[in-house]
Amino acid sequence: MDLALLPTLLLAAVDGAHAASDGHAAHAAGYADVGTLQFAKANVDAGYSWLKWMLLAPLASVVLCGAFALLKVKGRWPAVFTVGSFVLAAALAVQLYLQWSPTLFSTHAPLAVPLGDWIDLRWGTGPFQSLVAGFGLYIDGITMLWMLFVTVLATLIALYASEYMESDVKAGYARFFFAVSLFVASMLILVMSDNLIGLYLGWEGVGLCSYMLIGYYATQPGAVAANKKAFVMNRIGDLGLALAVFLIWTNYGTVEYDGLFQAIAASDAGTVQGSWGKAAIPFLLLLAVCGKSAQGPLFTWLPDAMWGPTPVSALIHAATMVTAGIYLLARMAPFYTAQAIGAEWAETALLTVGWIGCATAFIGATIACGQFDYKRVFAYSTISSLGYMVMGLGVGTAFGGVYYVFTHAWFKALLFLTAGAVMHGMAGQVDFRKLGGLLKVPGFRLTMLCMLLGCAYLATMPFSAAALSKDIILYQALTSPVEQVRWMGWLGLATAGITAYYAFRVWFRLALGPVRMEPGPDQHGHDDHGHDAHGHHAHAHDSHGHAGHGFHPHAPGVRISLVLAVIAVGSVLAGLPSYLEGKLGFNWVQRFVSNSSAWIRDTAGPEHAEILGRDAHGALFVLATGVVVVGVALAFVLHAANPALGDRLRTRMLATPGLKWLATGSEHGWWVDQIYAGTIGMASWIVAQLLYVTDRVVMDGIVVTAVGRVPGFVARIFQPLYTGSVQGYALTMAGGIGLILVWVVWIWLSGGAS
Amino acid sequence: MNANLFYAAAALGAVVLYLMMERRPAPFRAALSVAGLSAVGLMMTAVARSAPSPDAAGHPGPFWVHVLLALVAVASAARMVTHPRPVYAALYFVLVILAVSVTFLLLQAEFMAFALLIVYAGAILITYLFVLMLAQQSGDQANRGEESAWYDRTPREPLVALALSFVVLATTGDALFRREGTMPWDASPAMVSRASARAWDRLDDMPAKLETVARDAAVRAEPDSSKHAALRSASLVTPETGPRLRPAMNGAAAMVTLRTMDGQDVTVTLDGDAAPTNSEALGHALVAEFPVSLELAGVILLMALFGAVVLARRQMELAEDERRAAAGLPRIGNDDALRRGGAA
Amino acid sequence: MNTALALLADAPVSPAMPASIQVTLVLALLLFAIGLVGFLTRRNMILMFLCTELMFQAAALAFVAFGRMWMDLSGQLFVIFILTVAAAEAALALGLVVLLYRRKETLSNDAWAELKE
Repeated sequence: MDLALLPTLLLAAVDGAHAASDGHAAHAAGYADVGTLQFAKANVDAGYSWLKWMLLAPLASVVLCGAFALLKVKGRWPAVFTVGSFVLAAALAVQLYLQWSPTLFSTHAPLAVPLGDWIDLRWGTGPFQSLVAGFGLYIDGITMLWMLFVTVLATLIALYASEYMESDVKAGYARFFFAVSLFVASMLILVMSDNLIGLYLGWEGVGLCSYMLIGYYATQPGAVAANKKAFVMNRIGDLGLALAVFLIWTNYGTVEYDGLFQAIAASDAGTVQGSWGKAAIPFLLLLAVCGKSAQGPLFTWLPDAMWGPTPVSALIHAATMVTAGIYLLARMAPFYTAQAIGAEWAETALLTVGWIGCATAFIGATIACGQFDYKRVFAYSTISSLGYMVMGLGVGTAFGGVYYVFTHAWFKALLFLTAGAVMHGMAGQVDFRKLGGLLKVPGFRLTMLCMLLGCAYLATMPFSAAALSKDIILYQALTSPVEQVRWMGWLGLATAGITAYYAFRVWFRLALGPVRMEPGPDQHGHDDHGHDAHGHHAHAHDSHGHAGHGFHPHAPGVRISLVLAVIAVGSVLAGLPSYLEGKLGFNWVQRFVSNSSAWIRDTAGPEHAEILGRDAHGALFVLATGVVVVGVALAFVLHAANPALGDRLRTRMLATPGLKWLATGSEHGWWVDQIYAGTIGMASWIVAQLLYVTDRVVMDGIVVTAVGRVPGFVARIFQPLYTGSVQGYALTMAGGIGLILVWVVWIWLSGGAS
Repeated sequence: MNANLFYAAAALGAVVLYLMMERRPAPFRAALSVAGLSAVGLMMTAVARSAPSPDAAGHPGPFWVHVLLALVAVASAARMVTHPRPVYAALYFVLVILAVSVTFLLLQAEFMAFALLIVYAGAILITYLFVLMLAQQSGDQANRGEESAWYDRTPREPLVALALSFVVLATTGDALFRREGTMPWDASPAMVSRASARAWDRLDDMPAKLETVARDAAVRAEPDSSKHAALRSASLVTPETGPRLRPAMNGAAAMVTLRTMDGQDVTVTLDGDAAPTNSEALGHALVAEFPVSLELAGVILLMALFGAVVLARRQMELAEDERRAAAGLPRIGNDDALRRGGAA
Repeated sequence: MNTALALLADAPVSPAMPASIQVTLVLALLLFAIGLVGFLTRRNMILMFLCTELMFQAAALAFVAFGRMWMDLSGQLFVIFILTVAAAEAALALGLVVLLYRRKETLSNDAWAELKE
């Protein structure tokens, strides 16, 4: 047990969320320098091998659902398998928490459970002469946290989906649950694996399932284009991850976390200065995060992912898959330290992470203001929230980022599920300009109330779980000694205000005002929308078969309502760690982060700092609440009190040349997709055409034809020999004999005496 | 060996043979013959110069007889190859066989000499001649006043053939004669003793002949003619160990013991005259050392006999079918291929 | 006279004069080469086979010459077998030639170039 850790953790236990940084030498010194790194060696315990059922249960569900899909068996059994396996996984996760976490919190050592061998290449006995990656598990604090909320949310959302996808029981039901089961299995592999190759396996697996599920409605060209786009952009990120893994192995000789962290702890900060191989690792990891969590230049796939069914959006693109990037950053936090890559590079890496997160948050928020499709609004809000989490890790608080992940998973899932319920009921109508007053519609009240809760959390209503978690990030940023980081904090604050505005814009438009329900395109059961990627209606189609005039909305059923209620309660309870912090003396989430590889960043900001000359805690509270109030008020004015005012404002903006770009740009996502298509897309198309021409003309025409003609050519050389006359053949024979004789006599025998 | 002379002579011979292939006026022909024969002679000179001077240690034929026979054989062979009329070519071949046969005699292969004459000249060549004459009978005989068919007059690619043969001849000769010291032109004493030992062993293996020869030798050696009768009825003594015939004087002679009727042992010395003749030796060798090959040769001849019968049968069948068809009788046999492809 | 008798005597063993053997071998080579020329040049089927017989002759001569040179009877033995095979082959070859002649009424082997490409 490392003594250096002990004081830190004792203090953390006493002071809760704002533990003193005495144990860390350097919060004041440089924000990348966290002092000497030490990591507890994992405790190998095969007694926990029952954890393998957490992985095997979803995989068994995969096999069963797959069988159902292949054999085209109809029925609801796939949902039963899926929900059942998720329940089992969740139960096991809880069991692990209850059984093992006391050990974790006392010994601070992660749990290593060997399950099997996978890759075991050893060509020597030295340090860089083996590549070992097994199927073992490595459970530390963040793994535990992810295991818990992923399995629980997956269970709830699978239950929701079993009703939501009812209309597809005859069609793709089994396929849907196959992909969902596979997804959860991959996600669990991702978080629980004990080496980077296992993480990569899970990474790829979730990407694949995302592809499968976005393109679930495979007959729609929009969905197909969206899933390809998602996969390709994910792939760009995967390239970064792969290269990072290669560099890690090259520089540290191992890909297993245990050995890796020990190696980093043992490395000397002095020798790593200027080593570009090691310095590239954090940037490549950042590229992977951008791909998976829709950050930076790779964010455009997430809005298009809304072509998938809503449960998919809730599970994958809000709560779990996109948080895999944050998991990666937390897990690989040791790489962003001065000891690993040198102070100068570490600072640059952290700043890059922070800026990308911050910029993405801001851009996401601005685009969300201009969308009329409420699912896309939530998609952009996810991008924005993920940006916050990434920013949190970049400004130096893994605790803030992870805590926000935890709370965000709940309320974002809630938001998507309520959006799904509305869509489901309104026959696929996603334009909130065509809906209104749903709070008054019987059957939708619960849904709209849940959505209100979700929007409030999205807007970081004071004292909400979301606010408590997001404010940790902002606190860390605004009180940072580095000036750039403080700018990030101010920008984040501004983004919070914008977020509040657009969140309530949606809710006010949907819930208040006169009741208006224009059914969507699924009214007659066919889906015939031609959408462009930036259209207002990029959403999935449920085939409902509502015939007849007089539209009757389809109120959510028991399962959907139950799940919504549970998740709403869960969102509120997600704030418990902060609510109970004072009583318990510790923050439940922070305890996890402290006992993980991200422990070096498990606090938020110095205890007594100043923002704008005032005490930091108070100032932040005032500022945060202030921007939220401003945003909500603006939304109220423009969309609740007088919706016509909001409409007129928009029209006026469109008319004014100076402001027109603001409105249309926001609506079109600042034309990022068009820019990509014009530059990268066009360049790729040109290269592809060149290659095509080369293939047809050069390869097929010239090379293949030439090679094909060679035998004929060679044969024609010898054709005159085949005269059909025996003496001609005998002549050839004699010629051969003559040649042999000449060779033997003149060349071979001349080697001797002559 | 004088390699350059050898190659040059061979080249000259090739040129001569090429020129001989077409019909030439008489003086040219004479010149060609002279040139050809001299080419052969030069070749021999080139080769024989490397041999040590002849030593009259034994009595194989003198050098010049060999040369003469060689000239005859080569000239006949050349004429055979170039003659436009097939029958003459065959007859020239007979001349070649004669020359070669006499060479065999000089090489002390008497049996082979006469076997060659009987088998080759007497059987094979006669067969060839028969066939030639038969085939010529109904073939295209005379066209445009020529005595021979066009395909007999015109050689096929003479240049290439001659070039190739020249290459074969020259290189083989080169390989054979250029190696000084590796080819044992002189029989070593070991070889000699081995050969004589073999000869006495052969005689030892022929007890009847041995007895006769021993008796004759004993009679010749015994001046007292009263004992001749006893000696003529003496029998061979077979010792317990060792051969009856014991070589002596380095293999030039051998000793054998005879026992007369009244138990007297007479040791007889046999000299070279008593050794088995070439035919006897060959016969003994065939049966004692290569019986399997002998049987196989018989089998080959049997196969040839079968083949000939089969080939001939078809013709007979063909002829039969035609005759029966002419007489309006149904066919015998059902060989469709024959019917379809049968000659008129 | 002595020489003549000596020529015909059955001496068991006496080495041959090298020059004679060499001349004989040259003769064998020449016969073989001329036979090869004839085989490749003549268009008459029967004469073609006759030239192969000439090559057989040359081989037999070489065998006997070498046998004499090394005082081994095996040379002559092999010639016996060569003769046997040559006879058998000649019989069959001539039989076939006659059949072929009956098909095409000519002895020219240009008539039999049906495998020509």
